[in-house]
Amino acid sequence: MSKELPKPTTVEDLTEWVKCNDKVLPVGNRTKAPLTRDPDCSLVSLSDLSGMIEYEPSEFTFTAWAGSRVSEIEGELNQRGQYLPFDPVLLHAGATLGGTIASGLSGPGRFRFGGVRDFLIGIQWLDGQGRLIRGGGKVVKNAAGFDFPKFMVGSLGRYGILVEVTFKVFPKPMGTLTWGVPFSDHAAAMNAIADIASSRLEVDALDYRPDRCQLAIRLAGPSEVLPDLLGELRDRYPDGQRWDESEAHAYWNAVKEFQWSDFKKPTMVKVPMNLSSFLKLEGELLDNAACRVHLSVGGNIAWVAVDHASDLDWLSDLLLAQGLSGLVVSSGLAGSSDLGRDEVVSDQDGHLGVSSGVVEQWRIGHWPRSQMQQAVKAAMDPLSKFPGV
Amino acid sequence: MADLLEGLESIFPSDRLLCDPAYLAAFESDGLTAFRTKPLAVVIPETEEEVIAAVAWCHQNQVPFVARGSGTSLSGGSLPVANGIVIALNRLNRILKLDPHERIAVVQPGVVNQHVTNAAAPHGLYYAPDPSSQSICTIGGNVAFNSGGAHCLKYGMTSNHVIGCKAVLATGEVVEMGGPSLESVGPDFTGLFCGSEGLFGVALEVTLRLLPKPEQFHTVLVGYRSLQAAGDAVSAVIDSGLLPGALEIMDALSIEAAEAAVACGYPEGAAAVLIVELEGPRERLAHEIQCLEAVLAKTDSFAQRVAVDDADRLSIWRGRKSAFSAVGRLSPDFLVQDGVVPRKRLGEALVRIEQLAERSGMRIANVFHAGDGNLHPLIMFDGKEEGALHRAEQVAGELSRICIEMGGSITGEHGVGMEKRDFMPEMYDPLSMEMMAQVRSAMDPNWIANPGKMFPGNDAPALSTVGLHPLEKAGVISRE
Repeated sequence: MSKELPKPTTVEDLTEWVKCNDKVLPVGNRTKAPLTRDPDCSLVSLSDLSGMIEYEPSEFTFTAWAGSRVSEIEGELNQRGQYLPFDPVLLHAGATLGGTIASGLSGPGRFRFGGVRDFLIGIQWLDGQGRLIRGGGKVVKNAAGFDFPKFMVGSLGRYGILVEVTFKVFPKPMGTLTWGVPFSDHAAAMNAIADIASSRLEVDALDYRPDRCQLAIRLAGPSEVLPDLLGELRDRYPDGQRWDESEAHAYWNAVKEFQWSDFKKPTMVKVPMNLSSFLKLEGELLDNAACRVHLSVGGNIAWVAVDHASDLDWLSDLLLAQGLSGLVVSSGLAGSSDLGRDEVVSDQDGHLGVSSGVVEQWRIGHWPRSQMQQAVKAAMDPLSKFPGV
Repeated sequence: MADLLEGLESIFPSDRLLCDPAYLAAFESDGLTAFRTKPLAVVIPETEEEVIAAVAWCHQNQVPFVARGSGTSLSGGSLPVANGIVIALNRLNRILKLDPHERIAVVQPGVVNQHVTNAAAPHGLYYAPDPSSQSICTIGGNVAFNSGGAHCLKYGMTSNHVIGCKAVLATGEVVEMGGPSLESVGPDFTGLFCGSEGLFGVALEVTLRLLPKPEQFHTVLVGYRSLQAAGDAVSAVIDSGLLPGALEIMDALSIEAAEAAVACGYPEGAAAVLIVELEGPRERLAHEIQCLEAVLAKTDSFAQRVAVDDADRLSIWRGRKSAFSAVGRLSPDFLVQDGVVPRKRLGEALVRIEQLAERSGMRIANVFHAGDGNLHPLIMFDGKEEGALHRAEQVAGELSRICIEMGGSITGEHGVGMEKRDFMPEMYDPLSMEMMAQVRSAMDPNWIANPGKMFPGNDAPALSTVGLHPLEKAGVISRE
């Protein structure tokens, strides 16, 4: 039986719902479904707690409800010539601000100015006891108190329900331009990434497609300046070519929307990486016909797509051997319309959750555990209202 | 006392376990000289293992400890506790790894901030956070207090540049957070550790990201007849869509002080000067310089100086960076405040500060990172005058309240430490304070790591008279 999730429209309603349920997990629009497939939990969607609360372009900050769609917020920022420089992912699929924070995902633009962790400056969250807690603030510089906003980045909804979030934003560059460069082997490409990343050019994004041995270098800034900067890339990498606007847009958009692989329904895994780790791993990764890789953020993220969820065990072993961790962020995502809502079922008490038939792993490879993690989890969620980590 | 310290001597040889009051005096205070406390002992570890052993000993014996680097905290963050020990980390000063290919450095906590940039420079890289004390302050302290500097608007604070950390918690548990990648999965413990003011434990190894050194800088000094005009200029620059590396304002009093100290040649008769610095590849910079000139031309300025070369740029910055210490020439004592207001309310905040100065009869100089609304009022007084320190502290408290009232923060970069702990409950509601206390207890169940900082309610050590820090008098350090 498929049902719509509860969608509180006020903080009071959300609080009441949290108090009435034993085990809960917040979601937005479920664009990253594997992260919230826990059959023991009742799900609640924040998607109706949405909208801009405060936007001060001259302060470079905005505050919005956590359930706001990132695409809508970006639209508002765009009107004032501003943006979130970390290139939020799954924008068109319907990702929310809260989900973007909780999953800790950043796109290619993370390369230049930092990731979601570097732009989130304040939060208000509901803990398992239904108490509203604040962390950080609403000004771009603040060193008072523990940095809960950063902690919540990647917290996967397991420590509390984000309700209100404040971000720092930047002026949006007037233009972008992409230079695509083919390489003969991965090692040469990794060297090029290191060279460009240390260069005077301050490039905006630096992504690599190993199957094509192709590096994409994105410049951003005043439109009239970009051709001059491109001149240097042309000198350095004469085999490259400038992509036209639509080609460049399609490429970067596919990265952000997880649609860059040729699999019909890929399962997508985020693997934090660096250049040397990639070179150690690429042989085995790329030899597997059921696996595709896109290296993003100057080699700091490997997006690994596998054809079937059953290939995750193989990938997990491979990552484990290298001491790397993987977060399974989406599965069977054919396009923006398939949000996996059909997995939602009602239990005998009427609580809505996830059918136990679709549970799958979301954490693969090396996930070290420590007493510290357990102690902090117990401190922030003493009633174990949220699932464990 | 020997009984109290039993067991420590098996970890540290006598020349690195200091109990002699004469030695302890050197550690009794940090950059906030208003507070002084002698610890029971100071230990000077030379290895990670010794730090871990010292913390484990403190845990077993319930003895409080304070980790300390160069002691430059301006919030009393490394103030010792009378019944505890100080763990002096200056000898853990090795850069363990500098990888230009991955653009990261792994350093021990006692490494001096500037030394990271020095080591990275041959590779065209640098470490971005630049607190004014960067020539002596250490990375461990920067991490603990999430230090800032003049370039935070564009590049963020220390926590934006720390991607991994190995630490020993107050329980003796050794944990590893983050790693060599800019990205991670799971909750960001590295981010939580940064700025935790030493209340969780002691950093042992810190992984820093390095940035390519900007190709060129364009530094402009602009003189204004009023603070308001300088403040308006900041808004105009921000609204133009430019993202300067630095935007700084100094008022007449601080200009006077800087001029007397370093003869920086700022425009005569200026009520305020604005320093704007752009940076980046020369092609982009050429374009941005034109934009900046157009913006500044419309502001109500009366003088402008563009740095013609690196030496000239440094001379402009010398005035700014020396301003705080230089105020010592105008007044025997002063308190440095650190607060943040929304940028659009800077003008209003300055008027309030002026009124406060008049009401209290104290002179207040102003230097601030205008780009991010970070104020640094300097409250001048004579410590020999009875009650003057107390009055100065009251004024400082008023300033903190103004920042809270305006929706800002009680600290932008100095941290809460000992100085601002009583204002935390005014900035955060009781539930949020309670959550912080719970997390602190998770990391340090006995509250032995740097007790008395950030949270109100502990016994404050006796106030003593203030004055310039001895190193400040010698011109070795300066305050942000």
